[in-house]
Amino acid sequence: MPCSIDIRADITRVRPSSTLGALGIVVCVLLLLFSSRVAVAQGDSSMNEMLEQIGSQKGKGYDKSPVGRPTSAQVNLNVHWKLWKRMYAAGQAGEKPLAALLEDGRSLGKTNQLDYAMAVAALAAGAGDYDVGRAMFDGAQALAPQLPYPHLLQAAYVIERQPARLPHWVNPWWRGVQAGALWPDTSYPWMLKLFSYLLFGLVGACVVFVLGQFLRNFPIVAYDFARVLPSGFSSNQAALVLVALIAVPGLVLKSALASLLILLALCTLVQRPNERVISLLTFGLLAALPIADDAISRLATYPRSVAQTIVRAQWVECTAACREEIDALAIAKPDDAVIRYTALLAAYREGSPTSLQRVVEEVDAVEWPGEIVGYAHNLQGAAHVALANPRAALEVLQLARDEIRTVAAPAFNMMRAQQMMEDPDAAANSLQEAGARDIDVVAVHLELERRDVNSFLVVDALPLRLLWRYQLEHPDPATQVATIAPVWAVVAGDAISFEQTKLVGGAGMLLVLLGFGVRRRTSTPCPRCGQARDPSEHRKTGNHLYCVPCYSTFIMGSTLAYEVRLFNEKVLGRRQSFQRLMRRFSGLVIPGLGHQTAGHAGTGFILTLAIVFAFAIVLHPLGLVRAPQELVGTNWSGQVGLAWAVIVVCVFTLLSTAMRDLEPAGLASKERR
Amino acid sequence: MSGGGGRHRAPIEMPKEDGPRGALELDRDSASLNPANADLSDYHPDGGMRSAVVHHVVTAFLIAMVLGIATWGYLAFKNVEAREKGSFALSAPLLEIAIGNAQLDRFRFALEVYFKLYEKYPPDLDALVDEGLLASSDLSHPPASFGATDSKIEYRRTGDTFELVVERTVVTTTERSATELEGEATEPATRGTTTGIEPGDETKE
Repeated sequence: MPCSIDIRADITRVRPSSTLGALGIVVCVLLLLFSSRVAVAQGDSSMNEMLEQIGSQKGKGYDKSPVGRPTSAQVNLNVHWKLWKRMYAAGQAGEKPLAALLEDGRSLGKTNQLDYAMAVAALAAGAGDYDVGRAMFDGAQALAPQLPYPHLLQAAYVIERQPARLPHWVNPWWRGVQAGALWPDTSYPWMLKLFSYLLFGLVGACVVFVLGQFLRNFPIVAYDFARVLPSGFSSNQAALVLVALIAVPGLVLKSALASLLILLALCTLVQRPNERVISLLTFGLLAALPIADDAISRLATYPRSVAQTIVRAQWVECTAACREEIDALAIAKPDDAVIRYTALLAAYREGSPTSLQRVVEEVDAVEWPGEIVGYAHNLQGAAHVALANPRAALEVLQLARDEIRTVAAPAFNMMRAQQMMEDPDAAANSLQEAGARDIDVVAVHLELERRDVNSFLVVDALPLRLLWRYQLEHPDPATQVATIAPVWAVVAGDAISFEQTKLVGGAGMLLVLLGFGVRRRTSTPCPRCGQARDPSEHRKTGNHLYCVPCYSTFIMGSTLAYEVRLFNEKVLGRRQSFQRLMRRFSGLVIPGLGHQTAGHAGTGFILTLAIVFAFAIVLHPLGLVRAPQELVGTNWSGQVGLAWAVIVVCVFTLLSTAMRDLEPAGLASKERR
Repeated sequence: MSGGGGRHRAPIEMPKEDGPRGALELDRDSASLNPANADLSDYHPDGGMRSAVVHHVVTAFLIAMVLGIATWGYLAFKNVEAREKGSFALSAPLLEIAIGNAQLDRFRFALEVYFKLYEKYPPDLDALVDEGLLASSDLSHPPASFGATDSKIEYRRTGDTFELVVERTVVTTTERSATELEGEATEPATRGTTTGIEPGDETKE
C-alpha cells in the first residue's frame, strides 16, 4: 500500500532562496580551516578502530572462494524506501533504512542514488525537528555524495532555522559549492550560465565604453583632425567630414560594427592610458569571440552527450541498456581509453565470472594513458581477486598502488588479496596504507559485510576532473551549436565573417599598442570645460591640464581685464555645468557612462559589467541550460542574494556619483602633485 | 590666545603680472572668448566676405552629405530585422535541441523524484510545479520566442510508465532560412533528441 505523505508544504517551506547566502561567503573561508583540523583528528581514531577489527579476525580463516555478483536487487531498495517513508511520516529521521538503502545500492554498483537522495533532501527541507532534519540531510548526502544539492539545501535549512550556528550551514554550503563545481551535470550548466552572462556583461560594458568615447574623445579627435586639414576648415566642418569617414565604410560594408570599430580606433589616438587598456580589452574580446563561441557550444551540448553517458555510467549506475550503449561506443572508438574503462567498469560491476574474465583480459589489450593506467590496473587486480587469483591480483595491484598514490583502492584490494593468501600482517599493513590514503572509503567498505564485487572490493570510477574534461576535449561535431555567430552576422554584416574577428581584433590591439607614442602630439579633453586642449599650447599654460581659456580664466584670472574675465567665466561656466550634468546623470541612464565621460574608464567598465551580470542572474537564475537535478528552487548557492548585493553596491555608487559629482580623470592626481 | 593685534605681520605678497611661472607665453588678449574682443587688425572686407561665403557653402555641403549618409544608412539597415530573424533561424533549432535535451533530463529527474515520494507519476507536468519540484518557467523553457521554432513537450502517463514527447513546429521567416534550416536541423535530429525521442529512453517502467 502506498505510503501517503503530504510533502507539498514540506518541500515549499524551505527553499534555497535566502539572501543570507551572501553572508555565508564572507564567513565560510574562516571556518574551513577549523573544520579540516577536526577531520584529521577524527581520521586517526577511525584508523585505530579498523586495525583492531582486522586484528581480531586473525586465525579465524579467510574465505578464499571467488567473490560473487551483487547480493541485492531493486526490490530490496523499494522495501527500504517504503520503510523509510513510514518512519518519516512518524517524525523520525530513519537512519537505518537509509543506511540499508545505501548498502544495497552500493552492492548494485550504484555510486550515487540521485533520485532517492533528492527526495530525502526535499523532505528534510521541511522537517520540523532540527535534529531530525539534519540526520535526514546526512542520509541524503550519503546516498549521493557527488550531488551538491543536498548540501546546499541543508545550508538553506540551517540558515532558515539556526542562522547563528555558522559551522552548521557554512560547511554544507561550501561542500555543496565544491561538489557543484565538480559534478558535470551541475558544473556545465553553472559554467555556461556564468560564462554567457559574463560575456553578455563584457559586450554591454564595451558598448557603453564606445559610447563614452564618442561623447568624451570624439570632439577631441575632430579638433585634431581640423588641425591636420588644410587651413580654412572649421572644427565643425572637420567633425562633419569625420562623421562621413566613419559612417561610409560601415554603410558600404553594411556593417554597423565596422563604423563603431573605426570610431574606437580613432579615439584611441587621444585616449588616456586607462582608456587604452579598456580599448585593448575591447579589441581582445573581439578577437576571442570564436573561442568563446566554441566554448559555449561545448558547454551547452553536454546534455545527452557521450561524456554525460560516461559520467552517469561510472558515477551513477549502468543499467543493461547503458552497458549496451557503452559497449557499442567502445567498439566504435576502440582507442578511446575513457570509453574502454567505462565499459570494463560496467562489466566488473555486473560481477559474473564471464564479465570478470573479460575485464582481466581486456585491460592488457588497451594502451592506457598515464592518468588512467593506475585505475585500469586496480580494476584488473580487483577482477583477479574476485576470481580468487590473489597472486595475479597482487602483481597488478602493486603497480596500481604506485601509479595512483592518493587513491585507497589498490591498497585496500591488496589487503583482500593478502587475506586470501593467509598473510594477516601484510593485510594489516595494506589496510593501514589504504586508511592513510582515504580513511572514508576504507571505513565504508570495511563495514560492509557483503561478499560481492561492489562491496567487498573497491573499484573507483575515474576522477570527475578527468571526465569533466572529456566533453571539452571530445565535442561531437554533429551537435555543435553557434550562439555568437548568428548575432555577429546581424551586427557585423556579411562582409566581415565571424572567422575574421581574430584579424580585426588583432589589428585593433596592434593599433592601440602602437598609439601609445602618439598621444603627446594629440589634444586632450580639458577636465574643466571638455574642450580640446591643444598640445602646442602647453608653453602658454605651463603644461597645465586646462585648456588656454580655462587656464587664463580660472588659474590666471586675476590678471585678465574685469569684463573679459566676467564673460569668460560665463561661457566656460556654462560648458562646465554641461560637463558636470553629463557626468552626474548619464550614469543613472546608462550605468557606467558617467564614469566613462569623466575618463574613469576602468571603473565605468566594471560598473556596467557588474550590473549587467547581476541583473542577468536575477532575471534568469537557472540559466540557459538548466541542470537536471536542480529542483526545488531557483536560488542555489545563494546566487540571487549575491547578485542583489552587487546591484545594491553598484546603484549606491551611481547615486553617490549623481549626488556629489565625479572628478574628471587626471585632475585629482595633478592637483595632489 | 591668538592676540596678535599689535604684532607686526609680514605683508602678503601679491602675485606679479607674470605670475609664478615667468616663462609663460600666455597672450591675455587672445584669451578672451568674447567675439567683440576679436582682433580685427587683419580684417579685409572683400576677402572676408569671400571666405565667409566659401565657408558657409562648404558647411551646407557637408550637412547635406551627412543627411545623405543618414538616408543611406536607413536604406541599408531597414531590412536588418528580417536578416536578424533569418540568422537566428539558422542556429536556434540546434541550440533549442541542446537546451531541450537538458530540459527533458530535468523533467525526467523531477518525475523520478515525484515517483519516489508518491509511488506514482503525476497526472500532468503542472503537478511537478505545484509540488515545488520544478519552477513554473520550466514548462515553457526554452521559450518559444527564443528562436524561430515553437516546441511543446507532451507528457503521457500510463500506469507506472510515462512518456515525454517533444513536438516541434518549425516556423520560418524567410525563404533563405527555410532552406538552410532544413539542411542543418536534420543532422542532430538523427540522435533522436527533441524532434523525436527514443521511445526506450523516455519510457520508464
